[in-house]
Amino acid sequence: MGKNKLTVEKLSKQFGTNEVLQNISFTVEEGEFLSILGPSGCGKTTLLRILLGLETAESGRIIKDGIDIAGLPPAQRGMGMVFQNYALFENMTVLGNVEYALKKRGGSKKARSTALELIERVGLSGHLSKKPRQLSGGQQQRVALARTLAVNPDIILLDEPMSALDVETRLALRSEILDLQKEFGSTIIYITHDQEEAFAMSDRIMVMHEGVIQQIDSPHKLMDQPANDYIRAFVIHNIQVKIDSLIRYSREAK
Amino acid sequence: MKTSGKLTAVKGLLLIFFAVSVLLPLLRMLARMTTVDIRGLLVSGPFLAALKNSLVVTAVSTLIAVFLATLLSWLLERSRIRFKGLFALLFTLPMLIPSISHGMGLVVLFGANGLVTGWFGLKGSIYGFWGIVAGSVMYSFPVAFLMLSDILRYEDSSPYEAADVMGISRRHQFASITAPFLRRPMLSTLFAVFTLIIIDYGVPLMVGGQYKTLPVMMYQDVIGLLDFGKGSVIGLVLLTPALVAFILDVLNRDKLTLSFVARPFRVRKNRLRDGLAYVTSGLVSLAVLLPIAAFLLLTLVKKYPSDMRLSMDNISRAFNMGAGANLGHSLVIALVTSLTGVALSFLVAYMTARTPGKLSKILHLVSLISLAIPGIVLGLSYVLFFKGSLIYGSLAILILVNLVHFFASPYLMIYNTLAKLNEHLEAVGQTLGVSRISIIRDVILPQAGGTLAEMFTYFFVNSMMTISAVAFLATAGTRPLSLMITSFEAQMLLECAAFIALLILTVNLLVKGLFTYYRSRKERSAYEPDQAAV
Amino acid sequence: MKRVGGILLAFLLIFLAVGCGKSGDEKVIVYLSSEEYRVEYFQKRLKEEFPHYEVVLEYLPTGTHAAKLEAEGLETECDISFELDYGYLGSLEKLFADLSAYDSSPYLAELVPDSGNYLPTLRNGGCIAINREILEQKELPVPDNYRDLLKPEYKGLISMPNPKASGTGYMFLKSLVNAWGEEEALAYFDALTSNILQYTSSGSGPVNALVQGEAAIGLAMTAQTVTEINRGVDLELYFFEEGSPYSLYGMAMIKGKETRPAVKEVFEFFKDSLVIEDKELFFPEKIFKERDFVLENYPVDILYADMSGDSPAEKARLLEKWDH
Repeated sequence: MGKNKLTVEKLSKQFGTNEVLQNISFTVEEGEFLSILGPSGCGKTTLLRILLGLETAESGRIIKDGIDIAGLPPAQRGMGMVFQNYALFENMTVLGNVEYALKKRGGSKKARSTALELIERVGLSGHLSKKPRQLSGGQQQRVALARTLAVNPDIILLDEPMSALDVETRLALRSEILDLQKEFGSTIIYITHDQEEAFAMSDRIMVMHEGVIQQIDSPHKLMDQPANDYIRAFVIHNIQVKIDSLIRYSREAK
Repeated sequence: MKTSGKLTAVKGLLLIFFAVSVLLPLLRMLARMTTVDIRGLLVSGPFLAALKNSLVVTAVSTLIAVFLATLLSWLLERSRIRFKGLFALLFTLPMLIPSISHGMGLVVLFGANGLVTGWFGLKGSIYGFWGIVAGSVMYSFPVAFLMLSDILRYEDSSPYEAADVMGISRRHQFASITAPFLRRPMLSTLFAVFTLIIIDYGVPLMVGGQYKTLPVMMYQDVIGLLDFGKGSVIGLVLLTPALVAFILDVLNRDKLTLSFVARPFRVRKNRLRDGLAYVTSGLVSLAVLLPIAAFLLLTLVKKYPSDMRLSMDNISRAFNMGAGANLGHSLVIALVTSLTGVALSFLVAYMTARTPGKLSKILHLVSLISLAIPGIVLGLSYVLFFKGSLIYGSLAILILVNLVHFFASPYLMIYNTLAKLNEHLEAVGQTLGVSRISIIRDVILPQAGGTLAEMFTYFFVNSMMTISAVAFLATAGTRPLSLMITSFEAQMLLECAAFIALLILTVNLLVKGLFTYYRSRKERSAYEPDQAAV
Repeated sequence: MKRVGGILLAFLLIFLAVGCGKSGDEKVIVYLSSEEYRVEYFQKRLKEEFPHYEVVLEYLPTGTHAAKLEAEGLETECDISFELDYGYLGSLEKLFADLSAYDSSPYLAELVPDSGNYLPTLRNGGCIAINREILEQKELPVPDNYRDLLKPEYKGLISMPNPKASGTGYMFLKSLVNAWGEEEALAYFDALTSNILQYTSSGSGPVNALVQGEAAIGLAMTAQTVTEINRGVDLELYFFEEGSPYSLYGMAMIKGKETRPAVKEVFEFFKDSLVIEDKELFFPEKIFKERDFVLENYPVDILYADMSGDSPAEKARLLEKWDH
């Protein structure tokens, strides 16, 4: 850690007269787990799409490993994305999903072996020929991750990957994502509106509201030194409520 | 930025296509409206009477058709009777022949000297209000049946299982689970059926008697009096229900995209219910088969009803008059219309459902306009606009007019399918370095296969049986089979007309059968692991 | 993408291929609204007479025929319009070539239109056709006059074409308007409406209803009734004292087409031969001053109704007042 992986400078984006992102600047370090936390409509998804190259910003720079990537097409940015609801290819098997992009980029033999290896590493070797709808939510997420990892990105972005899952699966998947991150050594940018999830998983949390970064800090610092009233009211208050309910839940479960 | 430029160009081209094939011809037609005293027409006695007649007869027919469809789709989806596939096929048969034939069927069966009337010594007359209702229910019931069966098939059974466990009574289950679940689809079914019936003139022309409806009035103004302007005004009035349906649809289009796997129903044994299902399905099948049997009888006798000897005269007469060549024209027209129609509606729906923007919204609206244009108005506007052009008098103009006439429904089918697919598929492709075209070919098209086949069938079946729009555009060298029904009917050769109706039914049944086979195979494979991939 | 492009290209080619029709000086297109058996006869004769021409007889139901010409205007591919009724011919007059060069003196004077843009081909008379069997079943007498038809015992047994949709229907209306005055005639049909089974959309509807036993009394076409009688159907035909109403049908050339020799030849063949043969074989009713035709079972010396003052404007005006 410590090395700058990604630097975002003064990013702005408008839709019509609506300023979705205002002067966003931040850095992400190599191997870091950064969460972007905010309510829906705060601009976090737009930010992600701009980082990926699916959307262009009006102004600002995106520097990855010292190179400005703002002009590059999505596939050349070295970033992978796990989309909301996973967007798996429903007509293909698990294997088909993972090897699809590799095959398209040439070399179907190599594609097959790489895909099989990835599927093994996410623990789905027993489900190779199943279709996505025959898998559980958690398994689907792992397919989506394997599909993303297949093209070998060094930054992985996840857009609310847990929103469709039940509480138990969420808890299990948290550690799975963290394990995979360690194994692949990736840098992760993780979008969520769930305070408790962000606090539990992240190295740092970036809180966004109405297109502006409210604060970027470690979970600890956010708790101890909230930068403003919004953080205090929205983030900290909610997290306490959440924690209380979780404690209650785990007691009842026992 | 480059790709979005390309998309804009495609959308622009599509808009130009619709401008030329829909808007400009319609404007030519509407230009003739300026001479009409619209207000005078709309408050005139005959117009108001016809309007009232139309509304009443359509409302009654709609209610009966939807009630029957609800009952039968429920019985088929939630009972354990056998031959469900056969019943479902029988119920949709009336969709496969022109509406005018239903009128003819009613006369042959229930007219003063009809077959059934004769056997049972019935009194009373089929002509008038109830004749229209019977004919309209005949051809609109299958549409409602298909729509509702689809809804019921994909209803999730888990709420009912939960309710059973909690000991909630059936009646309460209906009120609190079924009713809210069915409200929206029921509303759209009612609207679809209403729209379908209110613009039809085939049935009221045959059996309306003195009960005059708006489409008949339009028909008589346009055809009888050559008053295109007045006819168009009435056509516009008839467009209102479709417009209302469209607006409601747009306002209600929310949360449709949430896809979840529904748990299918496990139907328990219930003798009474199954018995009821058999009886009802049997009765409806009989009602559907009767007119077809009557057509068969009419085809095979010398002269109904004076000379009932068996003969092939009518068949050979129809073939002497070109039934063979016209069948050929019809097949070419239907095939090319279906292929181009499927390709075009997929392209348009892809743009409107999966690439947001203002142009997409305009394109969506324009695509739906055709839903509301009565065939006569569309056909005549094509004459006005395309006369003297290269395609006029050729098969191409018949294909084009069918394409436009039947575009909206298949477009909506594929639009809904594409809108339900995960919105990020193309973005996934982009981040993986796979082009949009590849994603369309490898991911989207395979998942839309069933819908595409359904669209193909829709275009094909309707092109085979359409009469109104093509009547003005066909020539001796391009005349489709369906037009022989009207010319036989005009010369009162009912026997030949019946044979043509049977011929059309046979072709459509074959196509429909192929589609059903294809879909059942596809549905099976969607739930099975794909062995070939391993 | 290439494959998609290929398919689209193929469609385009199909469009173009089917888009290019044949054309030429040898081809003559006739729109006509005659019955199928007559069309068949005409076609046969034309083939014998003009083996080197391609004469296309394009059958169109009357309304479609007229609506199509109205919409196509002078750009129509049609060269000759055959057997539209005078009402339609009048309102389409501006489309037709001047025929005053042809001698119209053989025709009955009242059949020759003022404009000289079309010539008579056929008089289609109306009669009261009766299915006696049904009347006898119901023990009802054969009606003697129009007033009789209002009697309640005939309720639901009378069939008549709708004047709005059919020339045959209109001619009955017009003949009574001329005989009794407009008000009385309209009042009569208002009263008659409650006895009528159905206003048919086609002029041949009533006879067919009689043949099928749907109705017992038809305000019908004489020729069609005779045809059915000759086929062995048990029908009878009568004329009431107001006379047999009739409608006239004619033929015309589209303006600009008369200069083509082929069109002219075919038109003249229709005028001089086919129209006459048609009278001899199928429709004998009188259109010529000095020639009569006799056909089996066809009534002779028909007393025709007064049909004067019939113009498209008059028809439109009367039909405005017709609300059935």
